[in-house]
Amino acid sequence: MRRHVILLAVVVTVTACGSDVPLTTTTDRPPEDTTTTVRDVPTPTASPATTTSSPEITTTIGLEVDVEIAGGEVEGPEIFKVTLGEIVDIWILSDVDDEIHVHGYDLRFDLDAAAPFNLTFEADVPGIFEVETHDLQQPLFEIEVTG
Amino acid sequence: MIIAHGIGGRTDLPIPLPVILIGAASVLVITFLALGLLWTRPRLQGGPDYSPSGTSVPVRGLLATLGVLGLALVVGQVVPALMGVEREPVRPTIALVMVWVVVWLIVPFAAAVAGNWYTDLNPWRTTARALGIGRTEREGFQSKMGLWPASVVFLGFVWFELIGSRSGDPTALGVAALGYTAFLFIAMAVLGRETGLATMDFLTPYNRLISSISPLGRNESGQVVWRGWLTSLTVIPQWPGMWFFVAIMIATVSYDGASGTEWFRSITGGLGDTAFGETLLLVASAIVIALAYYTAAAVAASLSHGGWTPSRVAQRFAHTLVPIGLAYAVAHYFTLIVFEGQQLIAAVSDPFGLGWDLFGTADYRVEFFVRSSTPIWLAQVAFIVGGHLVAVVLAHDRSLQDFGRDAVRSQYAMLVLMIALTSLGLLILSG
Repeated sequence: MRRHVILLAVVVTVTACGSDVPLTTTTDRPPEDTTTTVRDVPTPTASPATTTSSPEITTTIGLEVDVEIAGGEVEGPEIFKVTLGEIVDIWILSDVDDEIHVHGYDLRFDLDAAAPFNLTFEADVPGIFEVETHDLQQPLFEIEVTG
Repeated sequence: MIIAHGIGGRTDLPIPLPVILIGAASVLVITFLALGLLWTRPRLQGGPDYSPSGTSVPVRGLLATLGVLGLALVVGQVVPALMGVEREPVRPTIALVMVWVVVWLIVPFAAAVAGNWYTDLNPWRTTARALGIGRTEREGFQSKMGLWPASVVFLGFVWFELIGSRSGDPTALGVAALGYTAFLFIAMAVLGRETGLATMDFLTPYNRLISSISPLGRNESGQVVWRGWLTSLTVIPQWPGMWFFVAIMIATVSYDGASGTEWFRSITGGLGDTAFGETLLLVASAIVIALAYYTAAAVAASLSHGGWTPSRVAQRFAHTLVPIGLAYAVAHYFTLIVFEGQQLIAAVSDPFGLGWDLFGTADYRVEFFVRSSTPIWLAQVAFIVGGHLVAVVLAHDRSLQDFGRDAVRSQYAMLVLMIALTSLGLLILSG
C-alpha cells in the first residue's frame, strides 16, 4: 500500500513525432536521457511520424508521477497538477497484471506485473483527468491540466 | 459525474475567483433591476396562448422506434454476459453513453428548447401501449401522491449513478434497465399507463418540468406551435411534493460537483469514504436544499396577508426552481455532452463492446476541440446566472399575482435563497 510520488521539473530531450503514432511505453526502466516518444493527441489529420529522424526539441517534463500498486491496492486518489503543453511522465510499478487507462486522452496499455511501466505524453487538453486501472475499485490518481 | 471505464473521466477545471466574482456581482445587479424597475404587474401567469394552426412534425413514430431501440440496446447488454462472451475492454459500450449522456442529459436539455419529446420517445409507454398494459387509469392517485413516489425513484437513480459502484458496467446497466422496465410495467398495470408513468417514472415529470420552459408546445391536434418561453411553466399542475422533486434536481448536481472538491471533503470528514456515508450525504443534500426552500416559503407566508400556509406557498413557487435546477445541470454537464457524447459515434458501430465495426466508426476517438478553459468557464457562469435571473423573475411574477401589495416584501426570503443557490452553484464550479 505504499506509493511514491516525485514531482520534478527536469529538462530532457524528447523526440517530436506525429500524432497517430502511439506513445512509447517501456517495460524496463531506461537509463537517463532516453529518447521518449511523445504523441500529439488526438489530431486525426496528422502525418505518419518517424521516431528517430525528426528534429529534436527540448520539452519540460512538468510532472513525473511514480506510483506503486502493491497487492492490487493504492492509496488516494491524489490529484497531480501540470501546466498545459508540458510533458507528463508516469511510472507505475505493479505487482499484479492489469490495464491502465488515462481518461480523456484515451490512452490504454497493459500493466505487466513483472516490469515497471512507463508512459510519457504531452498534456495538451485542459481539464481534470482520471488515470485508472481496470481492476482497482478506485482511480489510481488524477491529473489536473491547467492553462 | 465520474463513472469508471466509461463516461466522466474528464471533468472541467475549477473556475477562477475573478470570473466567479463577476458572476456573483451580475446576479445582484440583475436581481435588483428585475425586481424593482422592470416588473410591476404579473405578465407570465396567463399560461400559454396556443395558436390554432401549427406545424405538423410527423416524427412520433420515429421517436417511438428510437426509444424502443435505445432501451433494447441497453437491456441487450445482459446478453453477452449471459452467453459468457468477453467484452473488448477498450470499447465504450453504447449503454453507458445512452443512459448517462443521452437519456439523462441530452433528452431533457433539448426538451428545454424544443418541447417535451420524451412523451413520444418513452419506450415504456410505447411497449405498454403495444402490449395493452394499464388500460384503466386509477383516478385521483396522481393528485393525491403527486411527485413523492417519483422523488424516491429519482433518488434511487441518482444513487446508482453517483454512489453505486456498477454504474460503469454495461451488464449492470442492462440488468438495471430490465428491473426498471419490470417496475414500470407493474406500476402501469396497477395504476394505469399514464398515471403509472407520471407518478413512478421519474423521467416523465423530469422532462415535463424542464420542457415547460420551452417556447414550443403542442396544440390539441398535436401540431407544434409557438407558445413563448416560460408561459407553460407558470401553469404546470402543482403536484404535491413538486418542490421536493425540484430540490433533488438541484441537490444531485450539487452533490456530484461538491463531492469532488476539497472543501466538501474537509467539511464532511471521512463520511464520504464509504458508500453508506455517501448515501447519507446525498440524501442530506436533498433535504437541506428542500428545507431551505420550505423555510423561504414559510417566511413568505408569514409576511403576507390572506391566510397563506407554508406548504401552500411552497407549492405555488416550486416551478420557480426548475430553471435553477436546469441551469445547474447544464453548467455542470454540457462539456460532458460535447466531449464524451462523441463516444456515441464509436459506440453505434460496436454497441455491445464485442469488437464489431458495423459502420466503420468503432475506432473514433473523442476530439477535444475546445482547448481553452475560458469559454467553458464563461458559459458555466452564464448558465448559473441566467438560471437565477429566470427564477427571480418567475418568483416575482408569481408573488405579484398571489400577494399583490405584499409581493416585494414576501420575496425577501426567496431572494436570499436564490442568491444562496446561485452562490452555491458558482462555489461548486470554482472547486
